[in-house]
Amino acid sequence: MNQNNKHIDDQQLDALYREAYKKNTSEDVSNWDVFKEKWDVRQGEKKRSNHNKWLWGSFFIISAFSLIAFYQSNKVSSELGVLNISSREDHITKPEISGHDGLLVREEKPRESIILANPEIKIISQNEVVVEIENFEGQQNYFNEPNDFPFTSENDIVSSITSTHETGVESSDLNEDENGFNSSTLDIVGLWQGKGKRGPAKYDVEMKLWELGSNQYKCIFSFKNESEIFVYDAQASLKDSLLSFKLGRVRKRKTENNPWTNTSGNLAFSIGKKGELFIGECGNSDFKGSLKLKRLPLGNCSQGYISPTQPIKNGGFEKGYLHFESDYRIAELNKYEHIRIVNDAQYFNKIYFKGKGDGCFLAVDGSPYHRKTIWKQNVTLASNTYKGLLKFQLMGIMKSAKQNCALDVYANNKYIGSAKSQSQEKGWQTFEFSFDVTDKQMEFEIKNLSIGGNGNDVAIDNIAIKQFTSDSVSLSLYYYPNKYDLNELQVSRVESIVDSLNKYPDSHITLKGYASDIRDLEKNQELSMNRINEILKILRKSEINRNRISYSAKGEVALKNNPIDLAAQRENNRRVDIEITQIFGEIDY
Amino acid sequence: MCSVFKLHRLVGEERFMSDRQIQHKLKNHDPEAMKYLYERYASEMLDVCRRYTKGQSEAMDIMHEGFFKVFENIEKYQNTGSLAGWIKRVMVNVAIDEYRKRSRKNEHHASYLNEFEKKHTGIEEEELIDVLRRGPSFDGIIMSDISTHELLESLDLIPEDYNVIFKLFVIEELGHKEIGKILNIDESHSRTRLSRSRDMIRTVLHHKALEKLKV
Repeated sequence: MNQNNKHIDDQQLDALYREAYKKNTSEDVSNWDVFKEKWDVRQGEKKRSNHNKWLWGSFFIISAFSLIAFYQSNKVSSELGVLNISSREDHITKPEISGHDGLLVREEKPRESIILANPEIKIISQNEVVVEIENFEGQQNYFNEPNDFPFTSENDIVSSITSTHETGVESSDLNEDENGFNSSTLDIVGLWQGKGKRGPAKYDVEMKLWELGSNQYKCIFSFKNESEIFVYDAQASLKDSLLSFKLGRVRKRKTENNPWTNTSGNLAFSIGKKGELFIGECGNSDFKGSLKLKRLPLGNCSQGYISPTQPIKNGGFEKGYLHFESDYRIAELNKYEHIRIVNDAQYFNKIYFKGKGDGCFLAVDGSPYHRKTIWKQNVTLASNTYKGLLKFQLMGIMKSAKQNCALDVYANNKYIGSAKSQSQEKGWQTFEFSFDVTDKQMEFEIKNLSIGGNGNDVAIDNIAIKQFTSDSVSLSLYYYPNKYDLNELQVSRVESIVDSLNKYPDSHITLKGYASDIRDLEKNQELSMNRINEILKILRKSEINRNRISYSAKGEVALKNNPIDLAAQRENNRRVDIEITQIFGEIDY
Repeated sequence: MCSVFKLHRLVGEERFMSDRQIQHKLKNHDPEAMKYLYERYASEMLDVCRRYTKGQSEAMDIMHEGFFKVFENIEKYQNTGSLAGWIKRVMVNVAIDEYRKRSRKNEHHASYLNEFEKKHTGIEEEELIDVLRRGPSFDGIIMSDISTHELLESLDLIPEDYNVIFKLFVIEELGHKEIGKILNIDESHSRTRLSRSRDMIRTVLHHKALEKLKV
């Protein structure tokens, strides 16, 4: 080989040809119908050939048997043997699991079990919790089948969790537990519903999820019908997108008026043939069935909406002295500079104070000497929040107040405004303070500026934050080669985009059309425009203002230098990217 | 205090079937999956087949034969690499089988020099060998603005035995061991042929470049 640099070496030559082949893609003349016809002919021939083989085979076997029979009849004329073919079931050893119909109730029950590999329950976004099944025949499914169907064998069960609760504390409410959890004060972040059965009895089955913070979730599984209800409390923690459950108390009662009684039980998880997730009860000997949970569409949930959590914790002071800090003494009566949670100011100090609230509130006996922080809390805001509003209610509680109490409000040590209390006769006043979101984690503080012996006593209630969110939503539609028409699913997606555009009049939609590099440049340019046009037709039909629509046909997309995944690259290039920007949402109190 | 998130969120992208999904459906002879697979890969596989054939219709026949094999043997795909890679390998194997059949019938070019002389009369063997020794200038080839079509045409001018090895090694990126297995030859034999094929291509390109520059 000549080593002179001027001469083409092996690598240069190879690269030259690789490039040439990459460019030399032929026009797509493949035709499914032609191929299908050939395929059918081939299958027909194959069948005939197999049939002939079978005929010839049968002929030889019959001949062989005839010969043997002829031989046998000549040799052994009396005893005719009987061939016993026992059924396959006779040879199957059933698993020795007593009293559970062969279902999973192992000797060593796991105290805590994480749902492994399949399925994975993922928190996809803050406002949506989705149970997703990955790596199972490549499918992704939600609870979307209306049928109820049992685990039919031990092998069907992927994982199970077992109740670790021994004693249990009675509570009157379904959504309360002994740890102070009360669902009415939190927002439900996930709800799945389905039909199930346990033995012959049918149940409505529900799985609810509440966010407790720090990646902890409260979960309740309930099985309910006209005559009884079973409730499984569970604590769930999220790590690496995997939600693991620890089952707590299991309780049941006949009807709503009856008291709860503790019972025991297990929950089992399994995967259906289509990749569905089954969740079932498997702790009873009469268990024959299971259930399949169905996820309700967003916003269509009778039990509540799927929503983010109010970032201020215990803002109504219903949970007592939890989740906030204060420089004041806590509940030390007969001392100045102290705070107490009450539902009537007279319980704070009968002689000097009065005023009632809607439930509990924080009563403050102001300091005569110091400007101190009454209330402080670290708050985690929704990630797409760009602006917020801190709100609270204020009322003077001093019976003979001669001066108003002034409070300063800070967000991340930055002053955001002041509030002055009115006398208690005027009742509760609401104050709102706007703040810019500088960080996902922010500290809010309410300080008492008024010092002295008279009039700086105040009550605070219902502290909350309203978050303003900005968002952009994007999705892509993909196409078959040389095609630009939309299928039914794609049409419904575009229609849902129209819904969003109608709902948010300030929003703007951008369409970018692409084509793969097969065929020539001009045709691909035209193809990418045709793909956009199909979407524009729907938008125009829905009377979306033209000023709100931008589009550009980008034509063909060049391939990256990786010949192994050419098909995948081209497939990805046959698309239209849709982006809706400047959607503003509000998260209510 | 029940809060309502008013923002309607569109979630996710439309997804195509994964390789495992396709395999699963094809095992059950799902006609939709067959159509999906064919339409997804046909154009790319036609390009692969064209590399080993002389014309479009022959390439189409090979591609169809390849897809027959894919559908009939889908259970043999083991998910270790991409399905596209596996299909491509099937196509290459079918194409090479055809090449072997042609080889047996001696339909391919009998001799590189004979064939080359037919196309480029007036070039003596000595001259070719001389060119081979000196090696064609890379700049010359680039400067002469040889088109993609001409480059590929040049490849067709060398004997098919060499041409195939060059394509398997350079375009399909197979190793000599694999090539040896496919073509039923020694690994060392494959190396020698590849080296020889590169030399032949250089020579052809050099002449092409000279011709163009003369014009």
